[in-house]
Amino acid sequence: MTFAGVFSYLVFFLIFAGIYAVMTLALNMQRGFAGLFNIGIAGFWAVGAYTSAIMTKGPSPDHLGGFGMPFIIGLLAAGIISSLLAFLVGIPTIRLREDYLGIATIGIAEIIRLVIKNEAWLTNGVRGISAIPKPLAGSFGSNYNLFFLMIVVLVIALFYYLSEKGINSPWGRILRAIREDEEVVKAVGKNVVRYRMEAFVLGAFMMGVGGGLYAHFTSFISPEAFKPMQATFLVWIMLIIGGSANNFGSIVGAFLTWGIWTGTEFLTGMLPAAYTTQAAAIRVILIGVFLEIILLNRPEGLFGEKKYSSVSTADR
Amino acid sequence: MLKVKSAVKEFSGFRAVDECSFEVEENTITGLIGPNGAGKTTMFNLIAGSLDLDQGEVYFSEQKVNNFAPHQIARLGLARTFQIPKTLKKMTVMENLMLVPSGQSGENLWNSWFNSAKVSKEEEIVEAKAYETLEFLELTHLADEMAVNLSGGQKKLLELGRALMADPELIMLDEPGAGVNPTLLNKIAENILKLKERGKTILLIEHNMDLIMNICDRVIVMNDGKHLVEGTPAEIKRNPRVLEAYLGEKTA
Repeated sequence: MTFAGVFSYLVFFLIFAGIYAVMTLALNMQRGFAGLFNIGIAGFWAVGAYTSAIMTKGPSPDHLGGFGMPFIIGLLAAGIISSLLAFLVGIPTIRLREDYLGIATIGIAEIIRLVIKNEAWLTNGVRGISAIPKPLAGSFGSNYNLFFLMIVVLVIALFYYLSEKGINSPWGRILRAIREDEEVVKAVGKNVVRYRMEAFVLGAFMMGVGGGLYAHFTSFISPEAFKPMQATFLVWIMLIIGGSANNFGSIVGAFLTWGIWTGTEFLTGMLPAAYTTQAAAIRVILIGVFLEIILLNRPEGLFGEKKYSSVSTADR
Repeated sequence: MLKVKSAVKEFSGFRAVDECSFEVEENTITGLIGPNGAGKTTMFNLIAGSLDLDQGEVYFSEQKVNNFAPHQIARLGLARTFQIPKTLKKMTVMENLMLVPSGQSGENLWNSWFNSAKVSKEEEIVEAKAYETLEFLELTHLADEMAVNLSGGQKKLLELGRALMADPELIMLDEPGAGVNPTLLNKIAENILKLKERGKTILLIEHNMDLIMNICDRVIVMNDGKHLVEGTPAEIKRNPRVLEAYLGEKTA
């Protein structure tokens, strides 16, 4: 392999890992800070991806579309529609104890996947949406992916900044307090449901934007891409490995886990072709073993929970 | 200040609170006593909105608050502490207190993101208030300690501090003296008296009779979910029905 080949693969790898980092930051907002058990990430991811694709593509006889909006509008719409979905899902479920919210979200994600699969007028069904436009396509020649990587890094940086600033503010103080003990927060006059909903919706916004990035980078989306293993559980593994309630850990966890996940693809690729089906299962086993090793040695994840505080102790 | 009218609460057929009525006068310290299982804490939860009444009415400052959520009643000026202290374990003592004040503009995420100047200005005020409260409780040395590392008595004080931060009209204390050493207990008693001097109204559940006798203006006795008797501490002390309730004697 030439150097250029390795470099271009690395960029490709970093873009995917980066999109996962966006998802992990989003899940950390919901799970790490607000204690919300969302195991339906795939649903919000899919809604974001399809929204951005439909908004930005030109007319197509196969599915809804023809809006031809710019990339940035597509991403914003992806975030907004995904938040809207979270809001609607949240109305009946956000009050539930965490395990019930989990069941509800995984149900929603499957419903969304099946709707995408079956409502062909909207999404072109199982054939998926292809030729999703890339922003400024053709402007950067062979360095295009490097440009896209910059966009992904920018999104990560923005979400990281907003998330950190939010969690260290009085708003984040309430959120962290809810995670510690809801009864206390109610007793001092805060509307717990409102704050849980805000964290849920904010996380869903990030997931929607991440989904949009995914759609534009791959240029092709179909219901197959939003199965729970890749789109939900891998994100959870990333969060657990990096350390819940730690934004930096979330990002590192995403890159590390994605590295191992793609690494297993190389390994299983060396198996004879007859074992293709088994190879897919072996990858899941390997990532499971990796998770076990981390959890046995560092139960809090690699970085553990960060000490967030609204108070700077230095100036007293 | 506070009026409870024939309150009833059943737990799968068992009447924890049974047609109980009483009133708490403004700027008094009222003790709520009774044997274990008399329904005192259930009554607290009914008043604070943590439990819903099956029958009856609760009025707080002339306003009927039956169907209010806990956070709504809290905003009207009611603060409570819990029997087993609840603290925000992985947050500092300072943060435990700074959480409390209502209407902080930084509680709105948008302000926290884009109006930092206003938010940090308010934070300074809230922080100063929290520090004052810690001074009042003589806990300033623990300001930056995680709440999980506090002793049982210190957690009780922190609960009291949280109630103070809300600047409430009525403070309900659920066994502020339980599991607290005598020195600390005296301090808690002093603090409660100071609160009365500041014009607050206090309703407290307590098993420590010395504390009740020393600081309360009036005492309400509950037994089997019912309002048994009430009066001044001296009257309660002499009342044979109270003794009976505590010792479990039944007169034929």
